[in-house]
Amino acid sequence: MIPAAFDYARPATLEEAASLLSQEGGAALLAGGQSLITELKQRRASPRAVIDLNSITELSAIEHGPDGVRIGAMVRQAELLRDGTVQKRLPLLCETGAAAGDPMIRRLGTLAGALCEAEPGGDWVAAALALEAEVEIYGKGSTRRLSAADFVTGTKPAGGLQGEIVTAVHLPYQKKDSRSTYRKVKHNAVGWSIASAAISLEPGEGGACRKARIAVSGAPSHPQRLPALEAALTAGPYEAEHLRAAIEEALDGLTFRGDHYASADYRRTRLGILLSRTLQELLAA
Amino acid sequence: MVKFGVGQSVRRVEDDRLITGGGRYADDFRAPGQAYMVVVRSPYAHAKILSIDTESARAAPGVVDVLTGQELQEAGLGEVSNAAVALIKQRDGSPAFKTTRHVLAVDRVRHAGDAIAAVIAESEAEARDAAELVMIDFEELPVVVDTEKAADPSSPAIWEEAGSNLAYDWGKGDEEAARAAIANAHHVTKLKLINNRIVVNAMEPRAALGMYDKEQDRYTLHVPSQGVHGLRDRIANDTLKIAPEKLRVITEDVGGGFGMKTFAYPEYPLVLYAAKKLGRPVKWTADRAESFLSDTQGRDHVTEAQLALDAEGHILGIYIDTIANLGAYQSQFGAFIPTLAPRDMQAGVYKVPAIYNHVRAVLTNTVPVDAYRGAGRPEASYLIERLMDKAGYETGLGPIEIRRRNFIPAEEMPYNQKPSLPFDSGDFNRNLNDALAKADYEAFEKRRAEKAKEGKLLGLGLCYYVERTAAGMSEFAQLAVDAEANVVHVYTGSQTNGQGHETVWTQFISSRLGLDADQIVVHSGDSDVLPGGAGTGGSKAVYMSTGALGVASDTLIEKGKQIAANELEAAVADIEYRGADGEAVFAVVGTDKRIDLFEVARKAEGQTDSAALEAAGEYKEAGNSYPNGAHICEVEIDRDTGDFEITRYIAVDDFGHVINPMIVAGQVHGGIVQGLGQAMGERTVYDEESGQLLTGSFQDYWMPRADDLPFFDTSYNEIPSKSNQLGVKGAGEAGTVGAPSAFINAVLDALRLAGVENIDMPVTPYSLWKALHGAEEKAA
Ligand SMILES: Cc1cc2nc3c(=O)[nH]c(=O)nc-3n(C[C@H](O)[C@H](O)[C@H](O)COP(=O)(O)OP(=O)(O)OC[C@H]3O[C@@H](n4cnc5c(N)ncnc54)[C@H](O)[C@@H]3O)c2cc1C
Repeated sequence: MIPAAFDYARPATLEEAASLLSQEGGAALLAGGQSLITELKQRRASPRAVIDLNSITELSAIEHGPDGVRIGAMVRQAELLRDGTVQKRLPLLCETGAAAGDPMIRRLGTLAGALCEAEPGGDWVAAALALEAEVEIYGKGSTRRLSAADFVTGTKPAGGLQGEIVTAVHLPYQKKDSRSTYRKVKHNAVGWSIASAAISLEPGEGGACRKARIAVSGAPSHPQRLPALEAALTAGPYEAEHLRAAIEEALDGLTFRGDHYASADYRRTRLGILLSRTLQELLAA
Repeated sequence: MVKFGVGQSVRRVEDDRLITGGGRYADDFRAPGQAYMVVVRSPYAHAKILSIDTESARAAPGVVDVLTGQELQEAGLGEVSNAAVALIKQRDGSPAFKTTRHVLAVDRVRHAGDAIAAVIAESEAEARDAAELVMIDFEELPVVVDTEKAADPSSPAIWEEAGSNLAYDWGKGDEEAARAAIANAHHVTKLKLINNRIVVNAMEPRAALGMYDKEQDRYTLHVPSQGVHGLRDRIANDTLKIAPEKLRVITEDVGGGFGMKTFAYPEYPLVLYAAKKLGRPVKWTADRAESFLSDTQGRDHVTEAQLALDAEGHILGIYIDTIANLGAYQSQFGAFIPTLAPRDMQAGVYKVPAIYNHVRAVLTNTVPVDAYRGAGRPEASYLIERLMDKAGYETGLGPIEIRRRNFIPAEEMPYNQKPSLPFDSGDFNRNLNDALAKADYEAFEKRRAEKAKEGKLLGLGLCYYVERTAAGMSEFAQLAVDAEANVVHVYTGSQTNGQGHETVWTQFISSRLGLDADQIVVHSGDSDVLPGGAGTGGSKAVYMSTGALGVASDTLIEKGKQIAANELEAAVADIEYRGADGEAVFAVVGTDKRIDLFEVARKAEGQTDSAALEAAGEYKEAGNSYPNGAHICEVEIDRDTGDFEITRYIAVDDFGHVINPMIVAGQVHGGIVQGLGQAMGERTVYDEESGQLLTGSFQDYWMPRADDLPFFDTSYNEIPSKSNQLGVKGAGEAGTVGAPSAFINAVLDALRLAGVENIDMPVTPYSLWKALHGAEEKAA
């Protein structure tokens, strides 16, 4: 298919992009294009202008610090997954990435783009939530930072962006002893999640967790953390029974999506089974 | 040469060309000065068209013309072909209701995607932009999409002239005898099932390039097809209302057809009409979204059936009631598929003394339904094989024993079963035994018990399919020896859609004339070359085309002998053709006096009726062939989630003599995957309220992928067909016929452990969960 006509600009600096964005009402930013290009081609979106971020080299760096990494907005997902330090210090991100899309999509797609798109079945979003990422946003001459949880709230645009550009995603490294995994039930056609969970546990004394981060995607209305379940895991040792009850309670607090492919009930069931099987596995390890 | 002969797994000669981008598909054809056409399609499933305003579209940049249904009617264009309707006589003897499908809708649209207008512009982008400017006023009408509901007299009639949604009420067989069998039976097995609708999804979308030569008053159409002649006749006779000779149809490479590319679609006469009107070539290529909404779809039956058995489990009779959904219009063969196309295969491979098949066809606000790989025969096989399984459980005989008791035994072949099947050959027990051994059936219960420990349900399913290949046609072929290039040109009326015809015809001609593969050039469809062609469909190409090529090569040799006799100064009777062991020569019997085939061709001028050495062949089919075989599938199901996995798949097929085992394996693998696709996930969902196709893209419509499937164990028992010289049976559709019931029978075998007795295609984790969950709730 062919998109409707649009103006096109390919600025070389962030400054230039920001100024174009403020001039052009209704312009779309183009990162990896894995969501945007489809929307344009199917004419679900017809912005007056497209501002292409692909020539802004300052957005393409992966910068490792002592406690975490700053991932530039134009770093490709594939590049991120190839980074040795990311592989070592952020195994949850890598495991999630391997389950998100396919190699061709990851070759072009960006983490920042995936967070901006904030799909209800997004995998990257779930990992960002469980890893307590922060999104760095530039606009009107200044920079602000939002936690992933405040960025992805289920309302569009993500982060309430207004003429602003996401410049980077900050991720603290996982603790050396953390146990983490990403588990996903895929929609058989497109491969998006119908129920998935990014889980990171830091084992503590006496069977309780020092810290637990659990973010779910696909089944609920939008990707989100499950604070009640996290609290239950840090509160104390759990029996299998106790765990199942805590999961059910956490699920009771969610609104589930449903369609002809998988009803809300089914998604809830799948998420419950996935959480219970995965948590038991991680806790037993 | 031996290495290239019949029976060898020769590597496909077309693959180098195809995988290096040398294929020429319809969209690859570009004519100088061509304009692009974009079709404006209905956003509604059912609506009156109140007005069409083309003003702003016409004024848009690059627009050459905008066509509407009204203009085409005024120009005298006919309807889109639905030739098969004429073949259907209703039970009361009256003709079937015939839908009228204009090339572009005039005052009514009947499915989402129905073609309303065509915008023609200098570029595709301009045509697409302008298409959005065609303003149409609709008045929405109530929608019917569901097969069973459409048959309900209280549903709104989408064709008022028919009085209801019933297109025809048709029956075949001995109704009284079938009813009597049921009345007198020891046991009657009853079954209701759905044969789900399929979106065909060929890899290559449809496309068309139309041209018109004013001086010769002649049209040319480049189009993907399954045979150029049939398509030419339908477009010329039914729509353009011109003599078929006035239209040349050309098809080169085709990226999958599966039946769907056989038919005359509205876009084809459209580009031809536009080319003539505008005096320049006009090109149209479907995008994937259009394929979902405009390619014919497959299957869509709801069937209730009864199988009558005596006390020993022998079949006494079968009574079948089917509602078949034809979609919004009867497509070219649409009316034929649920009725005559199955060719009485509902009896399967069993002795069935009485059978009656009652079909009610309904019209709905959905994309028209037509032939899909197997066309009627997979539907028939799915029914009988589900019935046999159910009867096996109900009688306590089990699925294997009940089949054995009813098989037509090999000793009784050929077997003429009235009213259905004149089987020529087959050994059903042998294939079944081989398949059971390969499936390690003995150890199945042990495997099942082990899986149970992991909370998994393991099931084994069996199907014995039979297929009756298409019949009653003539096929044509032509051979021309090119003395300059030292090659033989081969033409047949069948059309490759990717199956490997080039290789198989090359093997056949190589074995007949003793030539190397690179001395044989196989050409594809051009309606100007041959007088006619049966096309590809119904798994018949192998025996129809080799039949015609056999006649052509015999004729060629006879012609060559006369020339050779002159050259070698011998009597024609003393000339023989030596086409083996590296030789391709005419020789005087008993001597080493010889002349090469190409040398003979060089001398041909002036000695034969044509300038070169060439020969034509026509082959009329003598009888049916019956590919058949046993498929066994093993499936494991996670009780809690409904996730499932096929753990074993075995197919033992009898395709008669096999010309190229590798190509046949390709057909079997592809066929099984296509059949499994229907059974394990291809879902075509229309919204009940709006009639929109909810699974209208690959985001929602699943197609089987390699990692969804196990390794297939396929093998052949070659029991030669008696209906053709080569003893071949045709393998193109077999896998698709066998796989759905093997898989569903396996799933049901597993589900039975949890108290679930029925499930319909397509099975998905969600549908399995619902079934298992429902059973749990009932038990609680
Ligand atoms: C077939 C397919 C399957 C997929 N499957 C999955 C999957 O299983 N799991 C999954 O998580 N994802 C999946 N994706 C999505 C993929 O991860 C995309 O890469 C991602 O959604 C968008 O990233 P992008 O860089 O391509 O963004 P783009 O498509 O370029 O942009 C997406 C949106 O974000 C905005 N945007 C992008 N960058 C910025 C920025 N720096 N600042 C402000 N706004 C910005 C754009 O304007 C646009 O609105 C799939 C995509 C496809 C095409």
